[in-house]
Amino acid sequence: MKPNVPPRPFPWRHLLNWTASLGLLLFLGLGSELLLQQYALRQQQVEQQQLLAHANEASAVLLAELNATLHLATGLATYIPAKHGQIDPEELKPWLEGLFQQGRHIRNIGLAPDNRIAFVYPLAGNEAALGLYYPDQAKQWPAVQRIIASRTAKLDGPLQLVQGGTGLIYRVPVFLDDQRYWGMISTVIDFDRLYAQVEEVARQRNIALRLRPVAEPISASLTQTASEPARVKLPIVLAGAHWQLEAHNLIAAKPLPAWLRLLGWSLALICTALVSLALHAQHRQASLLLALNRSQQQFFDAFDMTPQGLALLDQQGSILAANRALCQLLQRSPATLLNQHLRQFCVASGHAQLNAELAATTPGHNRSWQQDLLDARGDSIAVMLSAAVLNGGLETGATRILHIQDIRESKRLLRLQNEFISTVSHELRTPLTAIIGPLELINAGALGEVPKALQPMLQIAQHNGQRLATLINDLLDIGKLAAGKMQFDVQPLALQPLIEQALHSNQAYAADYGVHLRQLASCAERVRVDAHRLQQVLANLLSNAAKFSPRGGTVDLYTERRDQHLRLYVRDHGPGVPAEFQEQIFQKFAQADASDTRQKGGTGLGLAISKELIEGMGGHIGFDSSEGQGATFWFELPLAEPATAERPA
Amino acid sequence: MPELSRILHVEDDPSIQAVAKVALEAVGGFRVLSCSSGQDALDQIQGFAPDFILLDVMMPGMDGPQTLIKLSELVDIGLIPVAFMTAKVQPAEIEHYHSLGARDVIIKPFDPMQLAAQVRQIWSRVHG
Repeated sequence: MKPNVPPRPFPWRHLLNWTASLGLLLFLGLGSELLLQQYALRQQQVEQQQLLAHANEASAVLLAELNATLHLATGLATYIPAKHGQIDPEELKPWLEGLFQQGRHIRNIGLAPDNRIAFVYPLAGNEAALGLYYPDQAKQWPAVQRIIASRTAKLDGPLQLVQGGTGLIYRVPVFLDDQRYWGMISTVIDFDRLYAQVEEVARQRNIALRLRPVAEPISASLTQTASEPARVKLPIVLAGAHWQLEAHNLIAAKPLPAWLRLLGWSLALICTALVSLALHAQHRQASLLLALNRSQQQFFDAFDMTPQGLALLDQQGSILAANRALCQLLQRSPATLLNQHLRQFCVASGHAQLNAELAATTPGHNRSWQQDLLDARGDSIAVMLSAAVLNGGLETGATRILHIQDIRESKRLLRLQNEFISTVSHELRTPLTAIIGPLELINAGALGEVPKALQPMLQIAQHNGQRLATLINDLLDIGKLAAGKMQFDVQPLALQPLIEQALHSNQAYAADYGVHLRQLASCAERVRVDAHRLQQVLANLLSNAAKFSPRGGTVDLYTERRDQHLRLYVRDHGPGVPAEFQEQIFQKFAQADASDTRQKGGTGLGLAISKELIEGMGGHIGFDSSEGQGATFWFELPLAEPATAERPA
Repeated sequence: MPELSRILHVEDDPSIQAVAKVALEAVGGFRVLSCSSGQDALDQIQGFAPDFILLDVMMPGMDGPQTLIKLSELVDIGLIPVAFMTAKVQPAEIEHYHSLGARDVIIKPFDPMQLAAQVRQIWSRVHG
């Protein structure tokens, strides 16, 4: 299966991420800037409102002070018509004194019947004004004239007073009941004092004031520029006077501190970083999830597409999932398999086995067994089932995975192979028996004496017939061993009679080589062995030993107990096993001299078969040899009763 | 122990038939009746009255085991030992032969010089 690598993000994806982060940073940074600007603007508006309020306060103070003062003069103006224009200084004096105490800012009050100042209070310091005639005063007369013409009181100033300082002059034209012009009441107000009071208020409010007369009435206005503090202009209209009161804050508005902006940008940066991190984590999680999904899909595909049947079973044995191969094998749709017990698809006689095998399948203990399943048509299918418990499925209980292998074909092949072996055994051996048998009978003299000239020829024919029989037997054995078809009938048996039988059977063969087979000491042990296969092995070892022994030599057979095994040795005194051949001596068709002119016969299968046979009986085989020193072949077999067997005498 | 002298040999291959006949008669000194099929053996057994029966396993028509079943209906195979002669000697097969009532199995290819001795050995095991 391909390794599951999550796809690499494209470069443009990185670019997009960076752009998005940068965009967010700018958005948040500029947003914070905007907020701060709004805040500053609001502050400014508050300041302006305060300034306006303070200016109004100052204006109110100014107006209140003036009004209080002007009312005094107005009161006097109603007094004169009531007296029909007749003023009595003695009567006025105490009254004016009272007025002066109330109107703190009045410097003097002058009465000018017929435009000539006839009465000044207080007189001290103002004597120069007595007798002053307005029409003679070029500077004042036009203003006075306008007042008389308008029949309305008017406030003038501020202007420099003759007596020094700045003052306001409030002139009230007095008309008698018969509408006849009586004269003028002129009140001089000490502007400096009055204004000082207003400025005191302004100072307390931290604003600066400037009052100036204007020709035309103005409207209230508020101005502010980036470089200058807010400035407010208020109109003051009183008794015909038009003034403009200009005010501005003494303390300049503080600009936004730099650290606040820095804080804004820092917060924007932190927010961006957090959002980017969160997005990155989310993206990672998404790609992990995607990889997980893909991996799961791959595993599911692998499960589904495996050419062998696979199924998941729950604890009870019901099918949780079945792959295509299984559906195909059973010729059923997945829907008809799901949530059904596997038993329903087994032949009835196999139910007990199925239950037992599934129950025996535990974590770490997988089971394999043969079973006959039933397809949709009711045909039996021989299968090999293998089950394993899936780990880690705590919530799903002990889920099992079941592997279902169709073994119909291999069973058929096995049957064919068995039939083939049987047939070959029979068909090859029967004619050989018919060839070797008569030759043996003839050569043994069972049919009478054989002419001398024929004897060697008939013996050659018999000998080669036997070689052919041995070769066939060896080939069949190798075939069976390779197919794992060799069956062993292992029994606990006394070894001595088997040794004797082998010596007896092979003595004649050895005699052909002028070699004597002998056992050095009798053996008392019992071993676990297949008697027939042991004879085969001993025949191979003894005939080999005889074949490679010098004429007139002996082959020694002896045994030795080794722990839980008995070791049987066959020792010859021949040339030994060549060093270069020792590695491959137990391989099939192995012969030290494989040339066409080789001196010794044999198929080269004997030792290979012997090795397989001994191992098949639970033993092992080997040899010790150095060239020129003879060879000792040995094999070990498990003792039948290891604990009670006695050592040979 | 009763004497063993008459042996019924059932074998479809005439060569093997001849070899076994010589081996048993010339080497063993028995009297042998060779039958070429199971049916032949069923037809002749009562006339021949053998002491011992040697049965080939693979034969056309009626094979050895089938012949043994039929023979057991005609004679007492408890008294007349039956041995199979066959190359089919896998353990399961041998077990099957014994279950049918066969006393032993002589493996093919047999040694003609040893055949008579093998037959005598089985005989003495049954009647000894």
